[in-house]
Amino acid sequence: MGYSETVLKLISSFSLALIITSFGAVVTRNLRYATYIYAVQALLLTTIISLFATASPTLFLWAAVAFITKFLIITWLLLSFIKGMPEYEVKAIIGFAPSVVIVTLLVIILYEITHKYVHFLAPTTLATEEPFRTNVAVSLIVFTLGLYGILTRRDAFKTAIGLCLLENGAHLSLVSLAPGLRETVIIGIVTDVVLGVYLLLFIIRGLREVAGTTDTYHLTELHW
Amino acid sequence: MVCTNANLILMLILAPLPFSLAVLLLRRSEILKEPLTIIGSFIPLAISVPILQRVMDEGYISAFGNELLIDHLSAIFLLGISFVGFFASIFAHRYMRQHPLIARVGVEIAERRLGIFYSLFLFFLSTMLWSVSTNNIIILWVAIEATTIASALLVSFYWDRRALEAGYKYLLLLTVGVTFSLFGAVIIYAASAPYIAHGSPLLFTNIKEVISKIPASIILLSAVLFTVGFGTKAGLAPFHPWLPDAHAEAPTPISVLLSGIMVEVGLYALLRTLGLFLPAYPAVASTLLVLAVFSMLLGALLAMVQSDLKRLLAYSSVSQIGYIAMGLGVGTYLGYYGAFYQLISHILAKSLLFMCVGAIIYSLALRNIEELGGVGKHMPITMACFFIGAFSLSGIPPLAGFLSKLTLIIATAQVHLWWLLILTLLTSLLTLFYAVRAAYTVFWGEEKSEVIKEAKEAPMSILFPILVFSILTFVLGVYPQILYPLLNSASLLAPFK
Repeated sequence: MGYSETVLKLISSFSLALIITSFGAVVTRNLRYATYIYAVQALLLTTIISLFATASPTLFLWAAVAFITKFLIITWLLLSFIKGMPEYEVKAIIGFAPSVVIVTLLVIILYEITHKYVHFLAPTTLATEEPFRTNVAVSLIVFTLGLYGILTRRDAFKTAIGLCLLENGAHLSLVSLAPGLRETVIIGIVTDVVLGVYLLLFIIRGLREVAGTTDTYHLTELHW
Repeated sequence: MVCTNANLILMLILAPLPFSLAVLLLRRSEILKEPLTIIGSFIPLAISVPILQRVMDEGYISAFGNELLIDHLSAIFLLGISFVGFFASIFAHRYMRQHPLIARVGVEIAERRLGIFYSLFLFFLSTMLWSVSTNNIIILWVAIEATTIASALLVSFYWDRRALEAGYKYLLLLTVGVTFSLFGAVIIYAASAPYIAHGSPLLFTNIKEVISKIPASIILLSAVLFTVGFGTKAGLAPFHPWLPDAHAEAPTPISVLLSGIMVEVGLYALLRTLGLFLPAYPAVASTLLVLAVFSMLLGALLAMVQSDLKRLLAYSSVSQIGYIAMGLGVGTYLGYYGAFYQLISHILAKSLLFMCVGAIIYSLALRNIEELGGVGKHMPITMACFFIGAFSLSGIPPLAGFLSKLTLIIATAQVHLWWLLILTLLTSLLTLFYAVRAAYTVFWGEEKSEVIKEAKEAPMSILFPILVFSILTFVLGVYPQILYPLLNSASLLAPFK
């Protein structure tokens, strides 16, 4: 692929920064700050797609769409939602300190697995080289952190952020595994979950109005 | 004038959409919404007949460079979706005006909400038709996700605490689950693209040609991701927690669509994606078999302890989907034949049972088994039809469910999976127990309240679909050869071990 050394280093750096923003968006209890951290991640991902576009210009279209949907629309939706909500999320199942330990372990394990068994996991030869290999590792980590957020946060609002992280992880893997294929742009655009996030927030807002809370521990009307 | 394949397939998928828009725009009208919905859901059924004819004649039909492709397998699902969709729309038009919501919010708001309901109903139908007509692995994911988005507000339609809770779980769990499939699709796309010289690396037909060149580890990883993703959509245990809540809390016509066809669409996606790997990697079927058995048993056991009729039927769906997956997992001609037969018998029986429960709710506003009893005296037609559905579900002759389950049992015996045969028979006994016990408790015995003494049959527009499904359940049990040409062709196409 025709990437300069600088572009490859920038891709690696921004990619690794996605881990920090994922962790921040999940564990930050202040809802506004968590949203801002998510917004930073959306910008980072848009920048990574743009950097890949230096060798495959069609990717600029996806970068533009990602900027509008992931950064502008979803950030606006999240900020609109938290108006009138308490400043802090409902206390999580797993607090900050244990989360640091768990997430650090997750990152180390996934990074090691992806680098040690890269030939087992990489669908293309390109994916075994840097920075693509690191990107695949990061995409798995971001995806896993999204799941971690959904499973360990009690506040329904945080599940919406978790969903965004899942999608960002999948999109990072897409742009890293197949940056040069023309179908990648279309896939990136059509698999955007902005509508899903909007609907989820709409239903959570309804829950807040009807049940008076966004605490998923209080969603006990329906039992197995 | 001869209609091209492209026009036919496009019309099939897009036909409900103008009606969906019209219903939305005319949502204040008291008289136009229901007729437009019924017409909008009838057109796909009418179009699916010539499509089926062409598929039977030509093997498959395709359009736009194979982006859209309908073969025998798609045809089975198309028929199911359009058939159930049409009759669910007939069932809905009286049923939806009965709910306390209508009385609670006032006529004007209720009319507007019903307009949105019917508009989403048609959109939901269109997304399901799209899901089974695409030949593109990513568009399949998009269409499956679209079915979730289209139906999430339908599940939450009553907008009370229970409905919102169900809607939240439904949307979150399905979107999270299906994202796993997106990961799987991305990996397969990236892995197969270097080997596909001509044509799109996203088309199933092209990926299938190069699948043997992809490393086994990548296939394994993708198979796991697809199984989790589309398995969640299909309601296979242990990915099923969204299902009982959504199916129980949604308005009954939507429960019919969810249990009758939407979970089957998830299974279709699973079969399409795992079907890519089966010829070269038959071990993939074993995973499906394990999940299928777990689903069959767990669904049946949980159905036994339910007191809410709709939740009982929802858990029953988890179990019955397990039967279908089991046939696919067995992987022989007879296994596939039984699976497709079971699919059709389940669509009929489960839609029928949900509509019968809907008739009870319409008449009595009750659905808890413990609060019901002696309903049969006042609603004999509903009772007879409920028993037909319950017996078919349990595999009692001469109904469709008997032959489909018998085919599956013979398929397991053929491959000497005796443990599976025993578990299948055990699940059938459990099904017989919970389905017949529910039917007996609800329709026989003492009337438990004054409300039941006042009960009467639901109006004809609600009974008509119930009768149609009952008759078909009987007819397909007595004359199984009606389905043979289609099921045989679909089974011959399926990837064998």
